Amino acid sequence: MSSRYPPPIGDNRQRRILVIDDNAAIHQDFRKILCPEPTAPALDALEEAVLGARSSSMPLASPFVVDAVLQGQEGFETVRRMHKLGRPYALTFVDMRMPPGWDGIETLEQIWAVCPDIEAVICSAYSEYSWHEVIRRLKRPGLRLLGKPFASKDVLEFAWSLTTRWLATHNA
Amino acid sequence: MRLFWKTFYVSLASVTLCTVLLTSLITYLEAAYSLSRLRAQERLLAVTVASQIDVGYREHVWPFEMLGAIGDEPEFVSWQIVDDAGRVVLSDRPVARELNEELRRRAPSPDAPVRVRIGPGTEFWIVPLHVGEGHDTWTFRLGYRTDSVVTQIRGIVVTNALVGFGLAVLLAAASLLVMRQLLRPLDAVTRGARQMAQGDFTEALPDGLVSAAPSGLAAEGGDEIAELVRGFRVMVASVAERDAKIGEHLESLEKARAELESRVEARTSELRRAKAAAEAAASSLQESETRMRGIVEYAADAIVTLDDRGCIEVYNPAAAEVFGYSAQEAIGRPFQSLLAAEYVLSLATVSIDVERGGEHGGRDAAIQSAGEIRGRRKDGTTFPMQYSLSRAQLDERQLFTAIVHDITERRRAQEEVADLHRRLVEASRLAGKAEVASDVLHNVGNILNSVGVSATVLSQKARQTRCESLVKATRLLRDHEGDLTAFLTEDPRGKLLPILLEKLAETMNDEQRSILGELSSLTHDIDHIKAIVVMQQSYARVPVDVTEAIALAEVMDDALRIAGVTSWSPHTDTNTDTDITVKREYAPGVRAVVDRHKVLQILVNLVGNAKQAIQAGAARRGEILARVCMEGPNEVRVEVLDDGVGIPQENMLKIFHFGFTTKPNGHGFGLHGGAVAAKEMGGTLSATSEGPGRGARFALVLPAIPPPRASRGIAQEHLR
Repeated sequence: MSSRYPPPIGDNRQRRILVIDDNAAIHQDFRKILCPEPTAPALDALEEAVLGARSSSMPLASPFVVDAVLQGQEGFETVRRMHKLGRPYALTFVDMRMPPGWDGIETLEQIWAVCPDIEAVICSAYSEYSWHEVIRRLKRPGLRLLGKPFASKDVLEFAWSLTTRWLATHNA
Repeated sequence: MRLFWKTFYVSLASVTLCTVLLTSLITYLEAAYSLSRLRAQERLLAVTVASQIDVGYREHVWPFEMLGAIGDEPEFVSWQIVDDAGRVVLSDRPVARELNEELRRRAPSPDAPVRVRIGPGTEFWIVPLHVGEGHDTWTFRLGYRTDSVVTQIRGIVVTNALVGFGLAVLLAAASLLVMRQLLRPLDAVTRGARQMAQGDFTEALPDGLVSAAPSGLAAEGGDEIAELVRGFRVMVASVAERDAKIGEHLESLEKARAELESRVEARTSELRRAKAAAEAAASSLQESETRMRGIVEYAADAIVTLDDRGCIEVYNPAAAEVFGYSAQEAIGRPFQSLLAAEYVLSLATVSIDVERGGEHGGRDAAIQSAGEIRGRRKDGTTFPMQYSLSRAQLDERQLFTAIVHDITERRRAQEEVADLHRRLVEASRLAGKAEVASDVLHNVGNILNSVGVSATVLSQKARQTRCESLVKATRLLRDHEGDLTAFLTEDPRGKLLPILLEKLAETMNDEQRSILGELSSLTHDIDHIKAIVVMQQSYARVPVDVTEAIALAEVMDDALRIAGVTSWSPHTDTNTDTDITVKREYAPGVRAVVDRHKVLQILVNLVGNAKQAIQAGAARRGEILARVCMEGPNEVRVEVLDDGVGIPQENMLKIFHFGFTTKPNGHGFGLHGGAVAAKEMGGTLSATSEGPGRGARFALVLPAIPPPRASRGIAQEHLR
């Protein structure tokens, strides 16, 4: 897994990600994927001293900071608050169906109204809208869609590519 | 003439003014001259007397003689000698004190002769005297009258004025006379002309003028004016004569005209009466014709009239629109060519029949028929149309009128409504399924997600495990098997090896705990999925029923409407779009405690079957009888009867089998489902038929109170 991490690209800035999903288990899933527990570094050094270099390279500390909320409205408030505090999110994963509050589309419409450059991934197991409908309503070709159940590699890919894109526009 | 008076007055006034001014001037000059002469005379006298007095005083000889002589002067008034204190020393008569005071005040002590005017017409010369002791303040006063001069002058003035005025009057009178004589004839002519211009000839004859004119002027007169007057007279006379003649002519003409007019009027009224009678006769005819033409021309429906051979005589614009033929093309063409091939126009029965139907002998009496057939357009396409055909007897021939309405749009709309309805029903059915499916997918999807993540985490942890390090450490120990003590106590790596082993044990312990935790969460997720599947299965197996006491007549009515055999409108009973008559026989107050929707579903199915059974027949028309009644004390009976195609005996039992159908598009679920539902409610669904073509009867018998049931399944809320 660590082998898929690209080499650090100059900046060690945190990549802030917000997960908006009505299921707390999904929050855990995202955290497990994006922020794996680091191995004990003291032991690594000891192993190197006694046994020589390890065959596999060490996993790096995760650059992702993952926050999670249960409702669309809550997510919108969080995005706005962090934007004001100067710690904006680069990416948000939004569930499509979050009863009883806003659905994913409405949540994203509201978020983009205050924070238009945040990258977004819509994810859902089942949607009342077709993907075409979602894209047509949100009018964002850059929007990514993630079907549930999702594969870890897809989540990682989205997280890396979209936060990198976000960082690139915010470095410039 | 007015101008004359103006000039006259002006000249008179100016002459008078000149005279007065001149007279006044002369008088003034005259008076001034006379006065100054008088004053000079008197001054000379006064000075002379004064010098005589001076001499006389010095030589003591008073000139009395001279003083006495003054009194003889014609203008003399008085004289005084006054001393320095103003006292009168000597005078010819007593002097009034006021006069003395006045004179003294006006000329106190003059050193030269001074003239003083006292009152109107009296003046004094006051001359200083050189008498007395050393001072000369004595004075001599000589009074004289001036009014004589003034009177004299006034006389001259009056004379002058009188003479001037008289002269002016004389002149004015003379000029007045002359001008009158000059201008009066002219004035008369002018007046005459003006009157003629106003058309008055009798008054304009200037006889009066001529007679009033000075003799000799008008009659034989010498000057131009007289000639003018004469000419004028002649002209006026001739004009008057002509006028009279014209008047006569006019009068006779007028008479003739009046006569003619009265004749014309008499004739006109005769004609008018005749015309009114004719019009009254014609107008009602024309009005009705115009109205008819208007109706035909602008009718929204196609209107065509046919002669007794069935050829088109009248063809309105709406018809042209419907059939595509223009009026020129259509008139004379047989109406049959506007019908689709399978229809035949039959003028004898006044109807349009389907060719293969063949039998229309029984409808001879009809003088009007109507229905829905298919028409044919110019381009050969056929279309559904509604027609009505009627016959009228005109004198000795027959006239047929066909009114045609293109119902393509209506048909299409009906089909669309039906289609929409079908899709709606389908969609709502699918929505029910979709609701279940989406819930399941959402729940299962989320859990599967966690499962997948857990699996990934587990494999990753397994890959990162420290087993490899343990193997390497063990190998290291084996390599130094011989000198293990030295290796562990002296080798720098060997000294660290126990610590490494200890740490590895700890870490692997942690790893195991973490993997066990992940595995337990995985197990938990899988259990969750299992629970959802079980719940879903139990939901599908145990139907939810909601029972209530319902009035079966209402449900029956709803079923009739939903099946489309009665209208939704409460005012019309039979749906005009189908040829199905519905009869109802409802016993009052029949109620049952059942699931309303299940009963409705069964009844809709039964009514739908009845409708299709009727429409499958050759006549395509028939009757449905809906009946609701009690079946014994504890059961209710709902029946649907039709006179449709009926059920063959061999099918009587199969019709309730799952998947059995006689309809081309049927799926064979309806009656099966109905029978199952009836059984679930503790009732029965049965069918009877007397054979093909003789209709069918379906009866749903239900308990009025449902039987006690086993406890219900899992509540559906668990699912979410």
